[in-house]
Amino acid sequence: MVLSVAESSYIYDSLTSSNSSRIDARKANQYRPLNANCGFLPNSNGSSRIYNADGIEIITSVKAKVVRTERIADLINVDIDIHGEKDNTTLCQQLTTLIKASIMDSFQFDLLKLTGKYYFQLFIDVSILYLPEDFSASSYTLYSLLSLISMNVYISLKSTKLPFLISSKDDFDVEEEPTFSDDWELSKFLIPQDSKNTFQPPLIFVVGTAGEKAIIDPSLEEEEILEHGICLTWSNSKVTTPIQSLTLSTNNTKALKLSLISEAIKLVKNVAPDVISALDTIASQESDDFNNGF
Amino acid sequence: MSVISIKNPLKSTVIEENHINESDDENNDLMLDDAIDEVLDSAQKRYMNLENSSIVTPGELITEDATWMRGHGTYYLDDKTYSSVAGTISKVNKLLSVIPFNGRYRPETGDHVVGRIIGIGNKRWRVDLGSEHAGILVLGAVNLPGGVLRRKSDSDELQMRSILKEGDLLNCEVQSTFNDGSASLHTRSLKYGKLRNGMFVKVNSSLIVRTKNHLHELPGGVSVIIGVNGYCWIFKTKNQASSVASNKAESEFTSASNGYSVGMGSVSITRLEEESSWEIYSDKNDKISSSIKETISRYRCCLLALSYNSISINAQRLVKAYEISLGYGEINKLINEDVKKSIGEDLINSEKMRG
Repeated sequence: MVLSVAESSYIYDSLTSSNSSRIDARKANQYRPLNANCGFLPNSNGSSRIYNADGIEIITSVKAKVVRTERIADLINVDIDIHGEKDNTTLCQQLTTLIKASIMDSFQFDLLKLTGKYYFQLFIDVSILYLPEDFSASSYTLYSLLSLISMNVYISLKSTKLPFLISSKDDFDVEEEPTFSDDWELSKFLIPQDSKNTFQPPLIFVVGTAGEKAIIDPSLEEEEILEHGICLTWSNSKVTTPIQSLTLSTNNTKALKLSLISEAIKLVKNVAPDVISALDTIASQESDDFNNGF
Repeated sequence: MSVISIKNPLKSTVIEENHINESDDENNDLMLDDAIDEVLDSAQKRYMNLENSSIVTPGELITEDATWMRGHGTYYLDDKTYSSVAGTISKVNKLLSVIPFNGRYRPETGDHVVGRIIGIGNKRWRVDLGSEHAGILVLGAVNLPGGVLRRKSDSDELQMRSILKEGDLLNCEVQSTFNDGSASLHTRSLKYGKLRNGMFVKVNSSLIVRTKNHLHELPGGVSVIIGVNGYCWIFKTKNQASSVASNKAESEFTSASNGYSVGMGSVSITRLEEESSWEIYSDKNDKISSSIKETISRYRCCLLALSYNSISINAQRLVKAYEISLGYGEINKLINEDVKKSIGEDLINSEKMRG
């Protein structure tokens, strides 16, 4: 999409004016409506699907495998596939790195510990099924997808279930392969749902800035005029790394003001609890029956 | 006021499935048989003679009669004609075609459309209209700045980008269409030209009805161009700048009472010189107050709500939807899907009440 000069100056002026307004009438901290559901892929331990009104649709599956390793870095694997893009493009690789880094930085690895020697290894596969058609021939980059991907990963991690171990946990003395119960009813959530103070998966927020204003969830038209994008990670009720600047579109980029980073952090602090609780609601509505997934 | 709303689309389908499971199997079989009979009946009818204005789905057999000429939206295998789109059958003499319910915009001569420049070529601009092919606006079909009426020269061709460049939105009319469905456009009228002071919205082109007038002044100091191709432009209503010109004519007229001379008191027919200076191709917006901007955003939300509910769009409905939307309080609530839906329901109810 290329906007006309009059159009982009209209959007920019209304955003940066004293009583700022966004063209779709949202507040600075308001998201567009989303649809999501989880637990529909029968072959995976956790799965989720999310799509928005623009037609961007993402599905994620989390698959667990039992491995005997000491290297924690191997335990989490992230793979992102974008429809119509090669796997080795900068975009794919950067998205993968960012998502993986955000999870690795805050993950509580003892959740994956099975016995003294064995661990669960997680394979998180993200597939972006559909992008609006004018994405390819336009000036905006796809980095704004980051926020949607991370929400999707959050829901699927929250809904991931692991089978119940029936062999002994302590296998240092006796050589024993882990054995699991056949009954899926006994399976447990990877991230325990009941206790309050345990680990929560990280969420990445994408904040766009123009002038002195910071806005959450920029729409495509807004991305055209934004001067900068910042991605921030929210994990365990605070803003953490990776915090990084993103180029949301190649049109109007300017240098980033330091004050805007704190503005962005303030904005994320403001919206994160609501986003988390909305995502948790979806994650708890797991479909009982695999048949009604499609 | 919540910051985010995420819905689970599966919840409603789960309920429906329970319903089906409740009814016992025998009943189900009987109902299925009936349904099949019904389908067969209608299929047979269609073998015999063509039903009038029936609805067809892609791949459905329309007729086995080979005498029909196959038009748009149909294909044939072994002398049988099938529909290639979902839509209604239309017959003109022996020409059989299917008019799709939904789909890309098909230009027709005289359509008032909004388009976006996507390229500049040899003495022509390519314009995106949301149709299968880009429209063409030739250099000869635009007004030159200053209203000079002359043949366009090579130097005009070099300056095309200063008139219209990539990304610019314009408001034009379809002059003629070609065999492949592409359109040739023109802006040779003062009501057409480059768009500014507003916001662009895209809705489904099948929702827009062709009317005499597609530019409407709406309450709240806002005007809208509802392009036949589904591209709409909502903008601040122009001040009556043309009053200057009419004043001039008036003063000439009063002076004419002293003595009349030929040509005195006349206004040039097109008012080209007065109105089409370089300003008509300007990129600068006028000053727009924040209340007008809010009204523009509200109309945008209303247009999208109408499109969301698949209600056909005209100015009266848009104004009505605007009035209804005022009852929903703050403007940022209008992006909620439930609110959009209930605006649509309210609108339909109010039209039913009026009859």
